[in-house]
Amino acid sequence: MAYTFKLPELGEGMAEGEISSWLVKEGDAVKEDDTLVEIQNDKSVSELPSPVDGTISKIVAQEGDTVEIGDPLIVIDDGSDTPPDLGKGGDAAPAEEAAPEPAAAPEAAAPAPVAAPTGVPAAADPNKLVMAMPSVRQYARDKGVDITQVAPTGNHGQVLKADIDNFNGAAAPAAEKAAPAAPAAAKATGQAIKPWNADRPELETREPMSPMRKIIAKSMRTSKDIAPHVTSFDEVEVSALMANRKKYKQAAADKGIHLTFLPYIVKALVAVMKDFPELNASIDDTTQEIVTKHYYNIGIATNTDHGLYVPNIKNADSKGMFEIAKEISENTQAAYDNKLSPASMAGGSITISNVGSIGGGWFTPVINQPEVAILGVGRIEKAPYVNEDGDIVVGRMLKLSMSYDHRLIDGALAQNILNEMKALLHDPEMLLMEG
Amino acid sequence: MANGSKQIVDFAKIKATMADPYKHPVQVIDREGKVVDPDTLAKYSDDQLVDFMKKMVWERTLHEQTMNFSRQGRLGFYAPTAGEEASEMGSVTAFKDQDFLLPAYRDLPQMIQHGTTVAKGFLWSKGHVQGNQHENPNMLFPQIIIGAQYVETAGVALGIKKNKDEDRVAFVYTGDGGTSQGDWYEGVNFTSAFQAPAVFFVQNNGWAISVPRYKQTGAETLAQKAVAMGVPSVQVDGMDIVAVHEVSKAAREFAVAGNGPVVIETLTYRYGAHSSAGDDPSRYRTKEEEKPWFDADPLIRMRKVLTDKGVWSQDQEDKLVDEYKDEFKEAMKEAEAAPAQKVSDFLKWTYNVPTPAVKKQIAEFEAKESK
Repeated sequence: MAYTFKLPELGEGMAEGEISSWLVKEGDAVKEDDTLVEIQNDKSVSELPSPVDGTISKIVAQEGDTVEIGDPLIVIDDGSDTPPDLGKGGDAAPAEEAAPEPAAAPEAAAPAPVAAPTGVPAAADPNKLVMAMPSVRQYARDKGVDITQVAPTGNHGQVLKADIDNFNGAAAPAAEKAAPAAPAAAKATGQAIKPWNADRPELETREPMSPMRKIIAKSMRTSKDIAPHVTSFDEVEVSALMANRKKYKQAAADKGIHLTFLPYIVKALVAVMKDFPELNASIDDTTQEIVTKHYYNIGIATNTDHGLYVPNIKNADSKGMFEIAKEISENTQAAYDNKLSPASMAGGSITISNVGSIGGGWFTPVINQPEVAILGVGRIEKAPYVNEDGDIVVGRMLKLSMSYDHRLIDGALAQNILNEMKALLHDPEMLLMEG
Repeated sequence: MANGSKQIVDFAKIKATMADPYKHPVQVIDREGKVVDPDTLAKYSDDQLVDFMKKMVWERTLHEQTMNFSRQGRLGFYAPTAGEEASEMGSVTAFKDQDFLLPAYRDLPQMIQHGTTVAKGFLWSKGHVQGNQHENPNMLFPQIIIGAQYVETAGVALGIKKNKDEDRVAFVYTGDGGTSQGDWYEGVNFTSAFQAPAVFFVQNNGWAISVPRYKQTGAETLAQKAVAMGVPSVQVDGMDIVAVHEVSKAAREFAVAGNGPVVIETLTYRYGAHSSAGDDPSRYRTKEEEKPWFDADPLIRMRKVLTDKGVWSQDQEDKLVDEYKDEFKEAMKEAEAAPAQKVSDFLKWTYNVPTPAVKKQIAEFEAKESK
């Protein structure tokens, strides 16, 4: 009755593709090898030919849909008596191959040692994946030990030779002690990672997470879940910038303004974002759209003893250096006093994470969602620098680390962004032109 | 040492002239389809030349059909062969059934010519043990480790010599990338040390996946590498099937006569991706580079020679393509009808006499599989 064509594996590492266009419609007659559909993946566009002769009875995946390997794409009536198979799966595995699994369970449970309180069905499963060096496997065979029953204590759940020596057929089942494998196991089963010394609580203290810490934890995790992060590192020589700041520091102070390096970085970011609008964008996952912002609200990550806040300088493109400096000071004070309004932290374009006041060089900041990039700024350090004349001089090196959402920003684009950023910070007079 | 004083040796000159013996790759039909060596061409009957063309059409059609099968999810790993028809068909046809073939993964077409079926080729791609059970036992399955088949060839060639087999050689293929491997040198050197009968092919298709030929070595040609091992070598236009065949035949005769091995570098081009695993050539090479090679296509020039002789027509070719396609579709059906592979099957195929550990594993898996 029908052949269900599922998305085949089209390349190494390719897990999904987008239907760019169907070249057939329901009711069309097709011959084997006629092109059915164009699939776009991260590597290229592929045309998929029909594996059978027949009539298109149903197009399952629509244009614009993202499909994973094994997802049904189309049902073709090829006169066979196979019913359509709209479930997910690789190349149609015969039903009898899937069947034996449940049948194996009772047999597997049989050799469970009597003493084991928690049951060992997994341990006795001959199909269980055991990690061990060939020499250890041989050793186990020589000793007549079933390696699948041995509790691993090595890295990544590896069974060690010592484990074979320590193995006692009636001892605790393998599953319990597999602590090193826990991260993977936890993900698969949803079970939490056990604290290190759960059986000796006197060695540890426990306290509830503060609401703020919970929020930080949640937003950090969300960001890493949503956005594939890549961080590009670079450094720029900023003697001229330091001189400029020194020159106007007093003028600012006369107005009651503390001029730091941050306003320069804010100004430079605004100029860069005007040239690279991708930096001032968000991805709307619900509609798969790119939202480009026409405002420039530059967030400054502000660390306080009661938590981390990111107030932003609204419309930084329309503000002067002194005004920005003033607002940064005000926001920082408000953060310390716990007086920041939600509005002052909403609608950001991009965030600056400045650890320079404490020290540090390169690091990998986490993007402040729903933004697509964050600029990490380290301390300005003296270091050897080869200047434009080819002489080695004492340079003032500022390290920049930009994490970006690799879904939207490609590596080359990120470097172009950093290059412009560097040009502006190296020669602050350029800011007069660009800013 | 004072400036300008004469050195005892002129390395610059040595370096500049090292590739001199390889300046003129062997050619019979040039890229325009003009016969540049009529004497050699005259050695071949029209039937033989038509047969060459048929084999190239067969390989090109096989390539196209396997690309379709790949995109239908019906094949596993597959290395596209378009562009290398003259190099592959011209060479394999110079050997006899009793010669021992050691292929790499781009050499399924030669294996089928040497005595396995298309269906077995597909089964190999699908990872099925039956894909390794060839009708002609004088070949291994494709080597996946780059260049490793050269070492195996040394062993096979030495075996042929040790057994005093008459009229028999080992022949082996690798790509340009393979010549950068230690295995390549060891294999050629060992064979040369024992003067064992082998013909080593290097199908220089310009690219080791995404690394261009010129970045792989400082040597101007790959053929000249053989000199260091005391092995004669030649460069041949790999888009000229008559030239490739002629050179291969001469190499076989030389090796069979007990003179030791030969290295043949065929200058060819991979039209498509490195493999069906998804590299995109447009990421690493330009259309400007590809164009002259597409123009040098081995089918185009042979088509011209045969059409001029009045022994080939487009109709005839189209009909052949359809026939071959049907043949490959039938072969795919045959491959798909193969029984599901059992672990015990390939354990049994590993050793002629299983080791005690393998024996135990066979028993273990047979017990499970019988449930």
